[in-house]
Amino acid sequence: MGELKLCCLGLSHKTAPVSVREKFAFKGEELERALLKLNSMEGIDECMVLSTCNRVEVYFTTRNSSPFKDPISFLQEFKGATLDEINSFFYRKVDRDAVRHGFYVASSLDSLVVGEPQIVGQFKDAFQTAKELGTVGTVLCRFCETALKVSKRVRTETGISKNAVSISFAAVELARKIFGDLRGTKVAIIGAGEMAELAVKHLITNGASEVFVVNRTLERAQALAREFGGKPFPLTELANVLKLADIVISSTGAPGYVITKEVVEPAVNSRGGKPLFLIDIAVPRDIDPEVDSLDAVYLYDIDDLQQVVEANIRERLREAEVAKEIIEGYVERFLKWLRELEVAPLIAELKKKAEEIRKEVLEKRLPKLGLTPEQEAEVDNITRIIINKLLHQPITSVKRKAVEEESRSQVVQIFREIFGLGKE
Amino acid sequence: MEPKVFIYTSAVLYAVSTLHYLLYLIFRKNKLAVVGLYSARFGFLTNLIGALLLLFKGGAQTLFTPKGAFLIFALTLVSVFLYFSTKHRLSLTGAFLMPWATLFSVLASVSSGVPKVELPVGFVGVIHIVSAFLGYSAFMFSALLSVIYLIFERHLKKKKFSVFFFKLPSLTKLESVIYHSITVGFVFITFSMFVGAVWSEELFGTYWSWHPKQVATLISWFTYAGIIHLYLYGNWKGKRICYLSILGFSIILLNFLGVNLLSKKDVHSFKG
Repeated sequence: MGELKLCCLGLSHKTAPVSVREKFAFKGEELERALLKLNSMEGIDECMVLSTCNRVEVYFTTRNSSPFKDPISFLQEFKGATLDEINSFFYRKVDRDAVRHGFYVASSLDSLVVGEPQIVGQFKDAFQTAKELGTVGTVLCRFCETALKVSKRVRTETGISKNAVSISFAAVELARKIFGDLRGTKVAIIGAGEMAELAVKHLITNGASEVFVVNRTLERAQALAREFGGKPFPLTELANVLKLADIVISSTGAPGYVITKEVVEPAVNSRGGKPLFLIDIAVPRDIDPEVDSLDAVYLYDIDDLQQVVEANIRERLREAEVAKEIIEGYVERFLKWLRELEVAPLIAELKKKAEEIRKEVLEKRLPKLGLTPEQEAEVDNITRIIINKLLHQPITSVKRKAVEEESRSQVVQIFREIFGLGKE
Repeated sequence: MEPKVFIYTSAVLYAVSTLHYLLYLIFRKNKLAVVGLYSARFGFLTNLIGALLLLFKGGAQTLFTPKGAFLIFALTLVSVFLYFSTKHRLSLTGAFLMPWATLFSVLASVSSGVPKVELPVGFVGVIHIVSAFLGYSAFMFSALLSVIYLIFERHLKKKKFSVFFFKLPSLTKLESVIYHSITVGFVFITFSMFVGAVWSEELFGTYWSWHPKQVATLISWFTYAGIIHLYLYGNWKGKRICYLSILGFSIILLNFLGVNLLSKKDVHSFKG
């Protein structure tokens, strides 16, 4: 029997194309069968499976000298995978690497879109399923709980999931950079379109109080206005709407410019320096770029929004570096705990042995002394104290040594021999 | 304890804070801003102790020497910075404000603290000078924040996603803080003028004597009263309030320099 190792065998969007990922994905009832099958394998102590659309990972603990033998044969049996497939698409991580990887995954550092929040829920579900089936024990429970704790800390202490990474959210974020609190802001949507409507919905959930819906035909405007609880206007009323709105989202199918400088200028002048945010999601563009030259007007077209998204992704990657520093501390602590866990039975055994010796000697010798009950109790205490003091040093030393990489197995061996403890 | 130990320490701490805030501007790591904030806080404490020691050792008139004036200016500037930046999460202002606090505390460390004219400065005098500098500091903060606003606004317009874009709240928020600090400055300046008049009556038997400094302060006071009115009733919002705020502080600077150059014998000229 080797020492206990925490391992991870998995594939992700980084190593495998979607056709492979969907082949290895475990869904619902299949996941439960897989967990039970894995758990019944001889070399595997504890196991859990994280299966999302971007990754399939098996976390397990084992004492096997070739730790991945069992999970691989499981995949061959269960999914009909060839060894070739496994070798080319799956990564294998052991101990420190596995722990770190798991923490990265739970903190969304390994995600396709760094910082996306769904993975936390998926990780939680995977843990819950394994827990209900009883396939996780002390080690993986602690592993998952730590991973979730880390992920929470990373989310609150770094800006990893702060900046918007979709066009419609980027529009909302920009609006907030200009207006701050969006409560009380008025939004106008010109034309219709999935992305524009989505942006308006986000703006409403963020507090925008009024929506003006402008369309070429009043009927279409009325239909959309009902959906948002806004006011419908025909396109001829555009100039007046611009005077009222703070945020304008334009997405018409018109071939030329719908909003020109001549239309916007009087609106801006009536605002007294209050900013006007124009978003042009249409291709070809609806808003004349000349409009941007007006003071206190912020015009963003689809390319600009795309740039915001890219800048935000870069910012998330920056924050990911901060997150990695935080995670490293947890990895160290978890490994320390894992190593100490390894020597826990050894220490228990030593304490038990010492106690047995103490009891045996006292039972034999104590009656001969003819002491009073108080004195006997005192002797009992004294011997206890001596044993505790004597064992204190070796116990702390072996705990410390257990954490060190190289000397670990030797130290445990020597410890057993010196104190005459039974073989594993 | 010598006050100078504390004054030197505060200069060093402010320099550390400045350095970290400047690095924050470049590397955007929140940790840097945290270090900047804490060094500013500790610097503020030592600055305060230094000022109090100076006050108790040399009497209130030492506040009217260059050393005392720079010390109080650094102190009030940092207190205004700490108040607004922690209240509104404006760490970025540290990079613009702390260099000045550092400069003032360095100047305080090297300049003379021996008064040339004997002045019976009592409690009233201390209140007068401290509230005046609090007012100036608030105006300075609003002017520097206006500069930040203008840069941020320009970056938003030019679609440049810089540290201003990522680490500042919104334009509206900045604007409200700019206005808020102007009103705070106005309240302190008004109060300081009032206390000054009372003090003048005590010293010279007249509330108002058309000293250059008094005239200059009156001009600044009317300027800021005008700015507040334009903002509230004239709809001078956004970039315009920034320009006004910068203009107002330039007038104060001109007055300050003018008074010091023109009237060598005036009580307001802080001669050592």
